[in-house]
Amino acid sequence: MDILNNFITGAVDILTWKNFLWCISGAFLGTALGVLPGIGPMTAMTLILPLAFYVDPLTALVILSATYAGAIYGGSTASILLNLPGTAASSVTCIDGYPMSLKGKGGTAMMITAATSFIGASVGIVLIVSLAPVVANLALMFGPTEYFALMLFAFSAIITVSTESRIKNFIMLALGILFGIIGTDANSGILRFNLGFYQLNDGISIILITMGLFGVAEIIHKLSTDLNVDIKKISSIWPTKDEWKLAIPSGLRGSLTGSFFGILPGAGPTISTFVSYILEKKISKDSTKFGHGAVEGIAAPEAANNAANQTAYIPTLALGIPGDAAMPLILAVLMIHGIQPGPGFIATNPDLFWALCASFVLGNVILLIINSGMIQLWIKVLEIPYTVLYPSIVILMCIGAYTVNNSSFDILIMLSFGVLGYLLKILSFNLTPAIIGFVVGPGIEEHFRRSLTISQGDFMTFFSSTISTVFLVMSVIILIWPLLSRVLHLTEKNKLL
Amino acid sequence: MMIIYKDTVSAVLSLMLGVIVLLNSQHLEIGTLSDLGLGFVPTMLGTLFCVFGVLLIIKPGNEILELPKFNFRAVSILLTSFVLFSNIIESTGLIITVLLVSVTTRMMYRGLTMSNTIILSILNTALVVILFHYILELHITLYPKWTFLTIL
Repeated sequence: MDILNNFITGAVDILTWKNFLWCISGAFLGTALGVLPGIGPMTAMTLILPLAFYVDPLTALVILSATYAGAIYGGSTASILLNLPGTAASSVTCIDGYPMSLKGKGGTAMMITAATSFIGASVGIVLIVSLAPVVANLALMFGPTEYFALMLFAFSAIITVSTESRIKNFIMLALGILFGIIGTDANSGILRFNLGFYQLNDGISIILITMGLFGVAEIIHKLSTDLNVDIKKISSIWPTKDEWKLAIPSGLRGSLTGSFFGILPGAGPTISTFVSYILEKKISKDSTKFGHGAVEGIAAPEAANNAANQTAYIPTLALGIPGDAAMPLILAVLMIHGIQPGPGFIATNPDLFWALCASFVLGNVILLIINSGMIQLWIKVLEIPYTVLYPSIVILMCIGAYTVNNSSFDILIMLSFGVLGYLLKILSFNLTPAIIGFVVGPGIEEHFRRSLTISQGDFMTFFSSTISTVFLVMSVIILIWPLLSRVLHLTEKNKLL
Repeated sequence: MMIIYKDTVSAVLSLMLGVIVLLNSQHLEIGTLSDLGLGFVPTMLGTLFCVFGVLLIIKPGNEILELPKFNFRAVSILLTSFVLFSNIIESTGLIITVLLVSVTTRMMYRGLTMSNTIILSILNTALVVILFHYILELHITLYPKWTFLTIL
């Protein structure tokens, strides 16, 4: 009952004309930007982020989360119609979405995507509302040792639960931590790695890093790619009864898979879309249809993608540990307004938390309406020439970077990260661990130092509480799991022989 | 032709970064277990970069490094646009900066006529000024700092 009452209070806060309009604008803008193949959710969010300085925290969170959700929804459009995934997570949708488009069923695929995305996001929202306050209450019992262990667990999850090379993920995580410790140490006032630039004395803003690594790098990459827009003719939009029968259960299964991976810090939506696709293929009576336009092949991954994006808010809001690459921007909005993210966030800002949850529901309904009812408009958006688009994006990024500290040096920092991001992309590095390492890195250093100072250098302090022991054991298991599963697999094989 | 693996290049870069971090953190104290210094984490990170670099050299993946298609003209104009914005925003103000950067970025594409470029750039500038100066009330001066122009 408490949850329902709190939620209703949040809904009352969100249903003002101002917030309602911001939510619609965010959802609309996010979808429009997400539809375009060269602009993913991260770029869309970084373009909107400078607005956060000029509006109240709730409005800033509403517009940013609506933009994010919109860009995720929109990302599937280019995957289906052009075989060009906007993000790694929507690349799975290409496998069956594009063949459907070739058969003239691109509109049907988009309708199924909109419906299953709605299902996925709804399941995710239910989990946020019911789990986040519980997790936050538990986390209030955490001291420095528990925090250190939890952060270490988050790092292990980021490194292991990913499709990329683990060693490379380790390198990216370390790189992120390195960027995070640049600047003046808050306790001693000593400078680290400012490379002689006084502008780096206060550290680097998360906004500049994300804009550079995701936005600028993406534009450099796309400028060298031939983006020919050749949209196949759409003959039908509304799915048949049989297609609905296949899509809804797949969507529900995908939602559960996505929700699980979304809660794991750093795991993000990409892995959940792949896992849900593989699961659907395995349980299907006719797996040969996958890759040739199977409805389940788009329904499950899309639901998983949206569910994971929603549940990523649980570690972000309840623990202050970003659930995926976009969540540091949500944390940045809170910090811009002087709100400390972490376990105390929900207890000290219940109005903000519940209003945000209500805005998720509102945004989800708006997105369902604009994505299912305006399919023809989004197809038109795909035809916007890049000659119009990129110059505007460059200027928005420059203004966004400049307004962080009113310093033109920040634009050069963003540009440097853009070039670095492009090079890392060529070398097949996953950029998500770097962003999460950047946000969590200074915290893990601080908790590690504090734990050892309190225990006077006794390493066993990390095993002194059950919570930290559990997290540390889980971290080790996650890290050695690939090796362990290989050994178990070999033993099983030998037994069979 | 010599085959270069992505992981080999990554390993070399990781090793180089490790050495740079270790050298740059030499002046920071590592401290003791009960009183960790600011050099502990950087030293650990530098060592980790070196270890991961060595691991990648020992067991590289089989992805071959192929230099991607690179539109040199467009990318160099893009980078110039960012540098241009950064260099002139404080002295020339928002209007001239946005106008100049809009014209510059449109040069990334061949085939745009001068009149189209100018019209699109003016439109772009007008939108930016309305959004950031009048709606969001951003604290960026609109006009150049030169006295004779500020009269305008």
